[in-house]
Amino acid sequence: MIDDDEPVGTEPPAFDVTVAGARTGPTVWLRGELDLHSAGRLRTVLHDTLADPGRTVTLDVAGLTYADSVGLSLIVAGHRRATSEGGRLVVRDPQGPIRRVLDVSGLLEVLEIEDTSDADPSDLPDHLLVWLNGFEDRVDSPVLLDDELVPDFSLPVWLARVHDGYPDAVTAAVFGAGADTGERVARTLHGHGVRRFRGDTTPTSLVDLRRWADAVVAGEPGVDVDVRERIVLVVSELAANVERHAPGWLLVDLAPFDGAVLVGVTDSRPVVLPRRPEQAAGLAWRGGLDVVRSVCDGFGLVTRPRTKTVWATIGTIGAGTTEEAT
Amino acid sequence: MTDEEFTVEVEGEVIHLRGDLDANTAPLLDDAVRGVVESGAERVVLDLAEVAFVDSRGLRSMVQARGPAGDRDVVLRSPSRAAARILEITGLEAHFRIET
Repeated sequence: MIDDDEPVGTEPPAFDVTVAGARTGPTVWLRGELDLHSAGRLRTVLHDTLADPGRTVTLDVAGLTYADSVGLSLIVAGHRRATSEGGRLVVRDPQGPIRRVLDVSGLLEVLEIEDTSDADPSDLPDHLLVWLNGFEDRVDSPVLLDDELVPDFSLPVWLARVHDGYPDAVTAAVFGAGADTGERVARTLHGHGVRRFRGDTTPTSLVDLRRWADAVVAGEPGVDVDVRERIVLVVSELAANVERHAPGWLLVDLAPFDGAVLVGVTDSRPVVLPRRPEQAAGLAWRGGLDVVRSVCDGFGLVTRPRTKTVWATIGTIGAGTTEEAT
Repeated sequence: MTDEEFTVEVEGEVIHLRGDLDANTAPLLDDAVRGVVESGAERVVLDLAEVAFVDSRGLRSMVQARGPAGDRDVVLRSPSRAAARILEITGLEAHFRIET
């Protein structure tokens, strides 16, 4: 996420939003140009980070090189919303042109400004949530997410932009597997040798789907009864999740993947991300994704503008291809 | 997994399940449990011998059969291979009385 190619000279304007630190109150780093085009992403981030009333949200603007009136009004609206709900929006380290525009507009007096002497916009913590709503993000290397911000799977979560072989994929988050797995998964789902089930989220489909999955993997070499049952269970769980949270059509892919079987379940709701349900009385177990986690070796998701794929790998992943994260 | 239709049969405090207990069929189990509880039975027995498949929604129904406080006596009788497997995977077997 810490990219070295800072826009210079004739480079097109770029804008990055990074969020981290859920425990005490999130910090949002802005880099690049905040204008009409990029404002939507800041709006989303502010909306989400300010959703818990009474929190302190820090908006680090040290890396911001330009802000137009739309961007500034978003910050002001965020400040008003935070303070009206007993929270704070701290604008940290405005530099150069940003400081001047805040000064001229009188906003230096309105907003809560914090100046730290050794501000460094590239000084990001190890655990990050990278916001990738826009295509223009230039995230080429996987980033470790703060797993607190993703519903608590207590697993390291990697996020990478997928741009090779699956151009419409925006993000891939990988739970408990190696950093490059998400990208390879997306490529595999896009490639040859994929067995695909097209269906919808009606009750019949769920039964048909299990039968189909069982038949597909039954003849595969190296797939024993145990692996076969696990695959059918995962397919069913993921499809049931679609039925419940993202009704409509679904696609189920089964593909060989490093000696394991890759299950991908694609639906039409990119923004509904998997979550763990509330705990049942006195039990640590919380539902379908816990089941999936128990029987698969890695799982994650790929989101695209109009679809998302939740995937899992079942079986033994070949040695040396993924780095086991703990 | 089976081609058979899912069925629930209630016999006193015993609920016999047959077929795939999944997201679509689990509500039928919920209804049956409610019926048994309302009839004044002190415990609920789930006969799982002929259950061919159980998913997390099915597990949830079993968990919920224990009541809101989790203190109702629920016996899982003769779990089939599929049922035993998922109870083991999820570690939920420890929370039920299992009669083999």
